[in-house]
Amino acid sequence: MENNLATVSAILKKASSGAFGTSELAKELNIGPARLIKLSRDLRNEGLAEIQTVHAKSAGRPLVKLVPTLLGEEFLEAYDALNSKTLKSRPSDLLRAADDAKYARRLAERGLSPPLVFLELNSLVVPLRRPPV
Amino acid sequence: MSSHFEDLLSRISEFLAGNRIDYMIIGGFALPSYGAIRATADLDLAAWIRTPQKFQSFLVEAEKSGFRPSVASFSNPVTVLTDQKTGMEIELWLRPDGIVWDQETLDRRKRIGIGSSDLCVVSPEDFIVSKLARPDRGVQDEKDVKSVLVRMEGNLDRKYLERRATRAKVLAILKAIDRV
Repeated sequence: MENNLATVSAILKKASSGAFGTSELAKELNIGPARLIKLSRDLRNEGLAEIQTVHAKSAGRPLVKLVPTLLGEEFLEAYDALNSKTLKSRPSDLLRAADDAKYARRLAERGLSPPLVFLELNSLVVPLRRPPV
Repeated sequence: MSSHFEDLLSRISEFLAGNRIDYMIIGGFALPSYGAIRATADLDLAAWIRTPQKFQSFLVEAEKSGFRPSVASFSNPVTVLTDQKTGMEIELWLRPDGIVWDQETLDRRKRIGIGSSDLCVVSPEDFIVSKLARPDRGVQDEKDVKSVLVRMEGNLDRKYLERRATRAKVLAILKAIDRV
């Protein structure tokens, strides 16, 4: 497959999640409409997607949308399985997490409760959606 | 210092215990018990409700106790409860993502005292596996796992962890995170 696998997967996922026209799909995926049209054509040629026409209830042009074929769904499943086999974080992310854990452990060793500290932090950082009555 | 989150945890745990519903805190609210301390707005609970009838009566009692349900269907893995006092949303999972929700998971829950409340929290081993087995696992999930591995070093049931990780097909990723 010539196309970038992650982009192909993102297009198929988005296409399977609802009725999107080309411009909406391009906006959702943050790629240019021209590139999306080319990628859509490639996907159809590779048997991964097909075009469906959705007739709107109100007057207006019918929506032309891209939907994954059975092969496209199998591709998505295989891609997700493959994608889950790699680390998402960088070593520096994990090392920082290890430092944060050591900090929490030190708090506990000094007699502080990390869950209570967490609740206090949360009450400062996470706003209530509605003031208490 | 008491917080509105402490108050909310106290009320929801009292409500669940009063209705004899086994539950455990999962997700970000469980993390500070075993790993790093980071803020999160998402309060996730797994509840052991096995029949549609029990679920229906649970919804009635929840509403009476000030937790308004939405997206409430037994066929949905998750129901959202909105706390009428604070407006906070609680995600109540009947079938939590990434967790084998069985008797063993329930038996391994930890009781953790937070302020005046005694809360049930997912075990650190099941927390790790649930984070790794999420279909949308991201950087934060892996950082959370690393923090639990470091803070709980020497205190994890490694045999159980590896058995559950193998079953969830995340043993290799667990070992990769452990090695860093």
